[in-house]
Amino acid sequence: MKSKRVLTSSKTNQETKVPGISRRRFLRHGLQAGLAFGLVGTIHSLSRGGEYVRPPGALPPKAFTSKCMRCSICVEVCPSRAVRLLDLTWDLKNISTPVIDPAFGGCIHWKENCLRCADSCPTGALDLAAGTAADYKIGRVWLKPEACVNCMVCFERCPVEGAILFPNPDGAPFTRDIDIPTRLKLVNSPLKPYINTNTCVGCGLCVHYCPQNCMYLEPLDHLT
Amino acid sequence: MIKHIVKLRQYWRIMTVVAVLAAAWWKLPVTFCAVRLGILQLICPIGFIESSLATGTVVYRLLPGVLTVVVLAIALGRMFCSWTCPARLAGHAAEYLSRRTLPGVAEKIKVSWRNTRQRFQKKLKLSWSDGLALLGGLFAGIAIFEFPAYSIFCPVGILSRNLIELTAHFHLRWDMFFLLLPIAIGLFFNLGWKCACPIGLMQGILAKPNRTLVPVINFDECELCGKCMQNCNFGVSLHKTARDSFSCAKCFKCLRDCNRGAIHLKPLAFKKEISPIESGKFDN
Repeated sequence: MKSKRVLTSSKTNQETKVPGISRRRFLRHGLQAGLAFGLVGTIHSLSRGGEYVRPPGALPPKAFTSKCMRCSICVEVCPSRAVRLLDLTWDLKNISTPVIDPAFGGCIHWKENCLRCADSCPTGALDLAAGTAADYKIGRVWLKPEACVNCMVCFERCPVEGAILFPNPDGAPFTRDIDIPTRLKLVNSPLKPYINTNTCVGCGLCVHYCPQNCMYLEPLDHLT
Repeated sequence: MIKHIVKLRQYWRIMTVVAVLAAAWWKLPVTFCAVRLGILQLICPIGFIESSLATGTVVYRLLPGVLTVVVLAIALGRMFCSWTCPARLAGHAAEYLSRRTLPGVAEKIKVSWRNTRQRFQKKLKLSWSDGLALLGGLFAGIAIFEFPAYSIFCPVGILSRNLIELTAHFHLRWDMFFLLLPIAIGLFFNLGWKCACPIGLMQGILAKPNRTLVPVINFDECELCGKCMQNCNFGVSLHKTARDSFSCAKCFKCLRDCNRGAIHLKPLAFKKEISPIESGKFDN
């Protein structure tokens, strides 16, 4: 008991001796909190916007940036390794958020109903509840016809019928590779495949496998 | 026995890194930030708070996982910091490597580093409470500007992401550059980066009610050499406070280091013991 009394009395002595310390401390802590707040604000104001091809089921860009906690689980579980994390860019707010990078692979959701990234996303930034496979549209592809050699790899890889079309001089464009007459798809033929932007979901498989690297994956223009 | 536990801790820390690498290779959802075990999702409490603040909603599906993490922190204390934190492991590994490869240079850098640090710390004695103030400002900023700002710079997250990107795509990322930040911040704080690390602070706050695995000094055998205090990485002074569940990360180094074997582990310590130093037994 004696010891306890000694302890408490010494503490109260210290507090009563210097009453200014707590106020100074309060000021210092306020300054520190302001500093941290200011740093976050600086990052916010320095950050430039950007548009990215997100994995399927992603929320609208702004909501995605705030909800994603950058845990990189989506990169880990992606079976085709198509998901990559954004590296250092001037879009500071989106550093380390997942994007689909056709250099590493394409999204196979429309082929195999995968959605493993959205399934394992802890925060729900990739949301499973968006609807059927066709409802997920993550980007769009365009093809540079000058470099194309009509190898038809994109036709083989495309999971959505009618997303890649081949012009038909006699009627409706071809949707399947086997329908196209060989004389039309020669290497030096003036006719080249083109993308139907309404049906293309932007999975990036054609871009990944294109031997000529003449296809490009682009983000959709989001309205929000 | 204790020596084995300390050894086990070393292996365990390396195994966590290997586990994340293996999980990334076999495409299993295991990272340092979030782990998915069946339907249960363990998640970093800071990440959860950031995500909730930035969106202005509580992500209800995460609550079971967050509660599990809180219960783990109460049951095991701040074990995350000494048993799993990859940033600490990386720091120790870097120190060990530099000491092995360039002993003279490493020593010089260490001494000059210590001097600069002491010079800074004489002017501003920053400690845990300042870390809490910074954390408060950070959370306010996240809530106002609506993006999880800390996640981008978190050393645990950066290491976790780099390990995963290395296994998945065989490349490292430029955001490794941000790992310099904890070193810079560590200059100003009494206990280095440990005072400012939001993850550690959160673990400490959650571990406050922890009463298990407490190292206790047997003062009949203690020589007051102070070795346990000096060697402690988490700034626990065992002689002064009988149970510091906020700081103690259960690394059990003090038990191993004590020459006399005067420190023992109490599985449960509910009573607040007052040490003889505080009560004035060793006043001279």
